[in-house]
Amino acid sequence: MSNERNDSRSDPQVSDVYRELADERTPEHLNREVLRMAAREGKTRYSAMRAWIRPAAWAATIGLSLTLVLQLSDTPQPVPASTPVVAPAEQDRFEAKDNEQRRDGLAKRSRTQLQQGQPAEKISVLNDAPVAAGAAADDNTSMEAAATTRPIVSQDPETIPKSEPSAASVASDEQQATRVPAAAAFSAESTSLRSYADGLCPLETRETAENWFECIKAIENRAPRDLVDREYEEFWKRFPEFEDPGVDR
Amino acid sequence: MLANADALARLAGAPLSRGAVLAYAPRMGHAPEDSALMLRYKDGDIAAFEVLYQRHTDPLYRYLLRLCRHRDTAEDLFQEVWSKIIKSRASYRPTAKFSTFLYRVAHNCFIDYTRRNKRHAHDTEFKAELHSDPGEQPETSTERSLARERLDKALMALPDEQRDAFLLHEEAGLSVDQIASVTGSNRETAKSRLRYAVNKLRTAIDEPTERT
Repeated sequence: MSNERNDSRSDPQVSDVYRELADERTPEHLNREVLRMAAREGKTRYSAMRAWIRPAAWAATIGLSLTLVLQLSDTPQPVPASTPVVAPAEQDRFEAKDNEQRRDGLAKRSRTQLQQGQPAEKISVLNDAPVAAGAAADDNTSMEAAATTRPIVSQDPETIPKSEPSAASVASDEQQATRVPAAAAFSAESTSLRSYADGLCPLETRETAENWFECIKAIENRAPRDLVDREYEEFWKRFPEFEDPGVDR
Repeated sequence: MLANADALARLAGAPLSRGAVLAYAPRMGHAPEDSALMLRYKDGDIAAFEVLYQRHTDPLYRYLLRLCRHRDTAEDLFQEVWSKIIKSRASYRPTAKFSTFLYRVAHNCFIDYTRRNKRHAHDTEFKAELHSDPGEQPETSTERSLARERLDKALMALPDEQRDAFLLHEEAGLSVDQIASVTGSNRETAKSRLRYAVNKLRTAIDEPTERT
């Protein structure tokens, strides 16, 4: 206050005399009245609210947390029905097994082809066919190869007469052995496509018409349409006399 | 005077009692500013209001007492002013100095009072108690006493606007700009009023004893 009084309009003598003159104090009853009024107004609106606001905030926080926890614990974890949950290690094992089976299958197929008199180049293409079909669907050579492969694969390996491996088949096996690591590097998606290219239904289901047909029916909605159609085509080629039980004749 | 003297000592330099660090929280070791106290009171801190009230009560009372020159009226206005301050706490924003805000309310209350009571606006009932300092020499005491008496008379004789400007300067410690803001006038007007008031009072004090 005194700093602001240092003004050109101030007169120290006038100020001094005024200070001596003006020494009145606020009456006590006024002080009491004003402070009582302040306390009353302050309490009615804000103090009561302030007293409750913290406990209320804590209660709300705890309540909401408990509700959330209970809700989360009651919610069932969604498990996809179609795909079984496989641990990564197990999945790796399955993939390795799958690759092994595929390698065996390809070796058998190449042997069969050789027995039927097909040239070595064609065998090489056939061996590549599953991989190529998975990698590039629009590759005509691959698709053609895949289509050509199917009747051969559909044959029961047990029924195929075994013979001594020729030089060409040995070469093919070696060639295949070098290709397998490259095929194993493909993703899970391409692996599943390769299985489609080999034939949608396993060989054991193809032994009887009923089993094969049921298998095709079962996978009909899950597999790509064109592959299912091919499977049907193969089926009807092999069992032309089969009667579909679902069709009224 | 105040019911809670401990609260005053605590509030004078203490940080906020509540855990939250607010924007207007004072720095440690510094007395909280008026605006900070008012904001604390806005949040329900009664002790903050008590400190604020203690700072301003006597100057405000003297301002109103000498402005309206009537003790009962001054007391009524005093209560009215604090009542308005208390009620306006919810909308209070520390945009200006609190004392400017306080004295603007007081000034407006006085203007309203004079408009309501035009007939009694110039009744002079209040007379200052003139007492001398016991330590003073008799001659000096007489001179000072006379000076006080002359100043008191001259102050009462001043036009309301000039007296208002002088009292705002002396009691509230407001600058010319702040006086202009409180009285709703421009700076030059406020400056002139204050200068006239001071000159008249100085002349009254310096008057030869024979003439008084």
